[in-house]
Amino acid sequence: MMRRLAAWPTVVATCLAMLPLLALGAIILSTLLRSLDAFARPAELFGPDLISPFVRTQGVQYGLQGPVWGSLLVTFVAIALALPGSLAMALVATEMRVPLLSDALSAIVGALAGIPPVIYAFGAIFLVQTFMAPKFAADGVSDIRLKAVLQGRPTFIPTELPQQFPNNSTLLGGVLLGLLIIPLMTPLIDDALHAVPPELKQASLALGAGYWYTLLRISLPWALPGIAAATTLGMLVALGEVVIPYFVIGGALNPIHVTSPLWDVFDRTPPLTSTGASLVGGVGGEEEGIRAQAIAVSYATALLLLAFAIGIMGFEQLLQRRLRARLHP
Amino acid sequence: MTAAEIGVPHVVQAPVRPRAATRAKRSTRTSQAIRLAPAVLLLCAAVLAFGLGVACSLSVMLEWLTLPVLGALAICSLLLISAIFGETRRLDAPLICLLGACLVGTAILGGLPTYFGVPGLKAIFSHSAVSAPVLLILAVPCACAALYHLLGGTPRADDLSRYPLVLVPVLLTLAAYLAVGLYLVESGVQQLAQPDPVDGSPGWTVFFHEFVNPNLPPYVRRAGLQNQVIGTGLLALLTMLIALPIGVASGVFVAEIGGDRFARLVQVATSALRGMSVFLLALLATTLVKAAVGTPLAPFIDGYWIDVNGNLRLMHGSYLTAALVTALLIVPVVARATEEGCRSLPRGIREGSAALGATTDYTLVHLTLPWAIPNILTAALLGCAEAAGCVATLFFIAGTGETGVGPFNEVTSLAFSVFAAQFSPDKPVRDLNRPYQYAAALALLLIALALTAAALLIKRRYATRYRGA
Repeated sequence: MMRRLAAWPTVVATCLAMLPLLALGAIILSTLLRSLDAFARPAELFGPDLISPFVRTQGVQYGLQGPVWGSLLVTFVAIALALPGSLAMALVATEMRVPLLSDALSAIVGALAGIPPVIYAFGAIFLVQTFMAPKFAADGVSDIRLKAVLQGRPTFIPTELPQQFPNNSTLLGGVLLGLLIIPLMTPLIDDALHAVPPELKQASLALGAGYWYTLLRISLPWALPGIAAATTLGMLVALGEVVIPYFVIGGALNPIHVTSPLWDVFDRTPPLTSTGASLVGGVGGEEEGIRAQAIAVSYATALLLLAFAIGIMGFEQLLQRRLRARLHP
Repeated sequence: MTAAEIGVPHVVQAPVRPRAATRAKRSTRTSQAIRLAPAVLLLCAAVLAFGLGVACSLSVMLEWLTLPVLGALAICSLLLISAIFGETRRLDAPLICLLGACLVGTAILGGLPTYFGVPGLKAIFSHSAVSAPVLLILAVPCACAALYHLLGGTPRADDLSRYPLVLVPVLLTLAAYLAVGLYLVESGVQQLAQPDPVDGSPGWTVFFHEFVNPNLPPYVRRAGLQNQVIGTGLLALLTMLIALPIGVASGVFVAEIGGDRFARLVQVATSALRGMSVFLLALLATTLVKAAVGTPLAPFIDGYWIDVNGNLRLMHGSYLTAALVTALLIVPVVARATEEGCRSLPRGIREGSAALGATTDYTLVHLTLPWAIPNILTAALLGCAEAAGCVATLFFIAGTGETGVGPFNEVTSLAFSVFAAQFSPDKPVRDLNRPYQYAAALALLLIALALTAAALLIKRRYATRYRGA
């Protein structure tokens, strides 16, 4: 043991490998410490309404129910779009080969995975102009080309930018997050499908089952742990992404409530990330005085996000164990 | 062994008169045509419905075609059902379900007004918001059913007929990416082609001069992306310089050094860094910057600038701080790739090295790490792309970058300038950046795609290099 420790590569690698552990501890600790002020008033923190100091100076409230629900809605929409999308992509790339497309698909997905989230935010303008604006409106029908969803409500920069980045519905944010996570989920599902033992598939085919039957009954159940892992990754990214919700749904510059009915994805419910980010303020935020409580609440949103992420990862571990136990009894 | 040898009686074919044979063949062909015609019709109707669904999601002008096309789908499926019934005396259950769905869809769409509201929801919907998904959802199974019967109803046809189910979502998704990309390229090129609003120089020269403070007199200030482009490169480089050693060490530790428990701990820590929200990293950056104020480290963490009077001015955050925080995002990627690379070292090589008397450390440095280099290189390039495009960690600390580019200057990047053009609290900064927002995004997209493509090429090249090993 002593001789092994005396060797420099081991020592250096061990020391460096401890850094992520320390960084994680430091992040959690600093977030916890700075959010203590917010948790001192739990009744307000978990209340239904968030009315930030940006909206009005009197009667400021920091209820996080709305942002929490917004996070869940956005994640749900993103996964509902991305899971079938990435599953279909992985199937075309591995199982149901199509000439030309299948080979190109893995390269396309690889390239798409490297595109930064801020680029996807530009999809918002495009989608609003082509899909949303002609189809939805919030306040009456004035002409054939309807106004964007919920326009007429207070928006970020309403007078300057009628066409660009309108503060939009939870639905649009979820759709763009879905586009963001499809290329991240596809390779994982791809790997899971590749890892299905070929002898199982061959046995199924030899016994007379068709390819589609084999896919549904053998490959997909066998790849289920991998698909669950991909879904978890997608959920974590969609839940934690800041830039797209900030551009598309907006932050705490408007009052935030829990939607009624609950599943109203056409309303504007900013998730925890963009709410927290706008509470800290933009470049060089954190002014003194009135903002101290807002900043504490922002750290509290970060802590909640961390709790959600840990919950999702823990649930996935449990699920993986159950699924694997079922596959290898 | 032939059939005669195993005693299978020789089958004597009855002599068939040529005219009768021709007649029989013709009648078979006719029955085939009777059976195939409705399937072809249904396929055509399904393709038409799919096209109309796409058109309906793009515009509201083709609304009036929805009901006729749905009716055609229903009639064609009815024809196919009756053709199958005429042949086999059995009703095809999936087709009947499809027919029912078509009828329900027709009834719903026929009853809806051009614009309608849903009780409780704060939105008004256009008719096409419903007709497009209904058409798309009905067209795909109809195409599957038509293909199945067109291909003869065999098990092979069953397999082939499922292709639309998988291909349609893939094509729609790819079309969405393509549309967003084309929109960005078109708008970016447009912005670059327009002359600068301040001095009238061609738009593309924005990449070759610096951003000048918009709070200076109007004849001096101008938009510039030169520092942003160089800054993006510096940020990616610094991030990699920090992330690469830590990531490689963590990966090596998990795969080779740490026993069971320690390796697992480091693995959980790195995956937690990746799994948690980037928003926490954004907050970490601003915490670091605020904590450094008043300490000797302040100029290095916060970034500094010596103004014309020789005074030291502190900024909101330096490239070094941004790189430190962004590195936490990249470390897990590098660690994971290194771990995979180390684990993929063939056992024979490892054992051979040990048998020849090499120490564990010698094997690690001279065999395992070189083996993992392709993986590490791929992860490094992907990490560069991610660092270049990361806005979240710069959210609260970046600025306009007018004080130059260096490890201790105020941080900025192309991605951040896209963000600042929209949300900078300084209105003049927004106004100067806005005319080049798409251009900056386009440049960022090209940089990210180039880095990712390089990573993919390396991965592909080295994946085949050791195939014989």
